[in-house]
Amino acid sequence: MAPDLLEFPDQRRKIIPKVFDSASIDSEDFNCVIVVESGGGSPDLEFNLSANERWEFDDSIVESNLDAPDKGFPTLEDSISSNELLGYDDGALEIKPYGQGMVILPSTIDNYIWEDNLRFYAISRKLQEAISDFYEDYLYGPDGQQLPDRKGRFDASYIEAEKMLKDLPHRTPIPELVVEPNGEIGLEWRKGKKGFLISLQGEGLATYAGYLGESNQFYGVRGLEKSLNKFVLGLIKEVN
Amino acid sequence: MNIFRPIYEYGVGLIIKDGIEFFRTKKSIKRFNSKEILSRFITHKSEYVKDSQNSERYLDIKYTAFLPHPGTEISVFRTSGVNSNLIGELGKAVAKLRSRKLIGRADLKIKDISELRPEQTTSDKQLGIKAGPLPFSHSNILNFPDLNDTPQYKAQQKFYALKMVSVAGKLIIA
Repeated sequence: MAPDLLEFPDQRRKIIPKVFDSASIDSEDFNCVIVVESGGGSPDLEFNLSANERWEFDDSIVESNLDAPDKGFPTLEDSISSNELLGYDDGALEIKPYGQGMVILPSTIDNYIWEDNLRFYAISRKLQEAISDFYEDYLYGPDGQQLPDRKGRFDASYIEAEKMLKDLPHRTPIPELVVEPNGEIGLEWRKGKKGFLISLQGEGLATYAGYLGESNQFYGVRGLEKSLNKFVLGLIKEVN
Repeated sequence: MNIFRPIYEYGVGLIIKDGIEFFRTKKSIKRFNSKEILSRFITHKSEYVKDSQNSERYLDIKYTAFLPHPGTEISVFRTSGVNSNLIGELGKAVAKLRSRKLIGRADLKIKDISELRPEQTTSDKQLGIKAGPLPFSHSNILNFPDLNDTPQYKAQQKFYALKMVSVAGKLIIA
């Protein structure tokens, strides 16, 4: 049986303060400096990005430069370009997922990017890709007409999935995001042959299924009550 | 307990209309070999995890690849011992019939799937395979719970899909 609760570290950390040359934000000479620091006030590492330069990041950035208590949980793997980091006078930060429209993140404090904001960026990007695929694969019938039942279920499921993703501790491993043919949205965690998925129905219910070894295979239905996140976190721990 | 109860019958087979006939044989298969491979052709972007950095990398398959849609069956092909180029040609022909482009395939062994044993069973039917003749036999894995039924049936259907994708491994790109 899965444990009731998994304690993912939930301490917010600011990992990427930013320094912009605000005078040249919209020009091709735009430069920014990405600074990784542990919160002590002095930077541990700096990355200088010139215009159109892309920065690859993953959790090793955090783990190798900070005293990460949860070493071994890869949660971030993506890249961002200097042109996608745009600064504004009011300190707000905006990140544009590469090739996927625009996601506006909450304002950062003191020009810092919080780690969970960066995580949210990675999730948003995956979700946008899954939605795009759903629209292309399943949303339209053979006659080219949109299928209203699927769209309605997708819209309702999206609200539930977004809430669940926001409510999970920010160090929770990022799931694969799946839009099923009927519009329901699934979150899938997998490592090797072990896997767990939870699918939001858009009706206040979630179906789940897990394969955690020959002696631990299960499926079922739960309401979207508060205890659901504890249940989900316990199973993610089992997968990892 | 083996969840698969083979249904022994002569299959009609799938005839590709553009000059390729894949199913000329009338030989029937009386029994499934536990090591036999079933290939599921992937034709939807929603069915695999993308790798934007390396398009040649074999990627994980999502459980949607094994969700029946619509209905309660999924289509597979028996491809044990078949040259991979021929499997690719077959996949392209299948994708064409679906008016889609072939992305790749996921291979399952019957043995792996037969180890599927949920602790509880909602549906009163066991999964089965309806087989056609070898080679390139088109078959269906059938008796998935119906998505239109209760949420418990939906959960069981997703469990089957999750188990299948767990044993299938990586996407084999066309």
